Amino acid sequence: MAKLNNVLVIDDDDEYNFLTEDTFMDTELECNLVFKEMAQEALDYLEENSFPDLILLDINMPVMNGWEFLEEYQERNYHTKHDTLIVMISSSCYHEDRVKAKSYPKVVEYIEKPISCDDIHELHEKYFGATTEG
Amino acid sequence: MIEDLNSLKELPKILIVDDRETERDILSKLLDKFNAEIHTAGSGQEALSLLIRYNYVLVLLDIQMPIMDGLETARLIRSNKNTENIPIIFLTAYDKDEINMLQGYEVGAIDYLFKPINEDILLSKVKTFLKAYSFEKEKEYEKILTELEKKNAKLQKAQKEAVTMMKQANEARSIAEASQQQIKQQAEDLLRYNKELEQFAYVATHDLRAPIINLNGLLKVFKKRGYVNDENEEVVNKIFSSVSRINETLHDLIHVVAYTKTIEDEVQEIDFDRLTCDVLQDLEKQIKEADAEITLDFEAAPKVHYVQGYARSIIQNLLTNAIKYRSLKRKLKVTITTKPEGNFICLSVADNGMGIDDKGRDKVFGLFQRLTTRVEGKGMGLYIIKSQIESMGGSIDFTSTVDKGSDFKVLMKNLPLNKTENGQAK
Repeated sequence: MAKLNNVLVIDDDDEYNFLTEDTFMDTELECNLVFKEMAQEALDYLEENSFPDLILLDINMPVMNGWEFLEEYQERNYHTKHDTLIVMISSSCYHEDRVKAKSYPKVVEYIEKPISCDDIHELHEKYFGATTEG
Repeated sequence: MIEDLNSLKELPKILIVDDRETERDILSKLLDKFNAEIHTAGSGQEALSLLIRYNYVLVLLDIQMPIMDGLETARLIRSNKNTENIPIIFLTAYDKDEINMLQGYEVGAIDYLFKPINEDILLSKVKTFLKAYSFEKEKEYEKILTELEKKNAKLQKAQKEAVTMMKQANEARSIAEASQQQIKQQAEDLLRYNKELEQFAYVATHDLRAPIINLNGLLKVFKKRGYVNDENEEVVNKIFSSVSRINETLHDLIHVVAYTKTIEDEVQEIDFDRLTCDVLQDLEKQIKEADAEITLDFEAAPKVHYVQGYARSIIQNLLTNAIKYRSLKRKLKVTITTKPEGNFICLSVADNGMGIDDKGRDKVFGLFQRLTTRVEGKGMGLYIIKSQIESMGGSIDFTSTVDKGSDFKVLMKNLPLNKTENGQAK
């Protein structure tokens, strides 16, 4: 299993991104976080850079939402070419969204906002092998 | 009716009956002056056979004939229903015996003519009969016409009525169609409102919740970074509790509007004892505060196949209510039990609390209902679990006595287990 080094966060909510960063700091996992506030920017970023180990993807975003991002991700065959795991993050507590999320390849979890230290530790243990440091 | 009218337009017919041809010819010629059809017969038999076929206005009947004389013929004419009323003028020789016989013999003869026939007398008598006939006919004609008119009027009236009825039927049909259309429209409206409500709930989840989640998180960071001091602590804590209250309200509201329809894939085998102990742990603080004594007995029905989240919220809500609405006069005792009831499990949560009066009875399951101001809460709990229970094909009811306590009974339907999730119950 890959180590959790690089995380791409796709969310239009600037304040929330601040909190995500803060929460990751609290986990002391020392991951490299990249934030993109537009799904299209995230796609451009993926085109030009190495793929992250994990993508945290918000559902409700203007212009291109999380679902549309996933469609495009599949369209470009990223899901077969890369091992990157995707975790949906949303303030929607809709059951339908939860079910829909699981129908996409590489989407492994659905986390209701706000993401907590425990959530990150759990992801780390479950998908990136290592037992939590510190 | 029409045939009758045709017969009315025909010329009147006169029958002359005499065995001597010369007599018949003389009479025929004499009667030619009238606008009438003249028939002749040479014998009584011939006369009778003609009488069957034609309607005569008048019969001139010779008395002295061989084989069947005039009297016999007259008797036969009278004995037939169709011909009994035809006027007969007997032609007779001026013979005393014959006249006596005629007078004594009731053949309904109308008149006599003595031979040799006097032309003037004959014509005047026949004329009288024809006049009477045409008068009768006219009257009959008028009568028939009147009847026809009456019948026509009736027909017209019936037709009018039929048209009216058809109009009414059409109106009724269009009203029915209109109301059907209205019902359809209302159903569509309802569906649309429902959809809008769902959309609202969705927007509320994201657009309202997202900033509140941020606020809550930012406040935590604020605290964590040590910005809180003795001076501002009270204010910060109040902001905290306000934010978390908005958050909770929103969360509950979303559940009310958008509780998911069927979540069959989440049906699990639920162990009442384990689930209730979990809930008791969650409510530990409140139970301690209330100094509640809680008794569990799930021996009669230890398990149910149900949606885990729903089962949890049912027990949690009922228990929370029991604590909230406890009586301040005595120590709170709550008994939670289960027993099987057909394909259902009956879950009972009974307390010795304040109880619910008749006025409260109808409000218990309403939205935003709080029965006293003493307790906190948003008044959505029972509304939510009622919708959840009913969506799973069950029901909830209660019995209560004021100042004695309440007993809430939930019929939980044993749902079919989803195969893929089978055995994954936590």
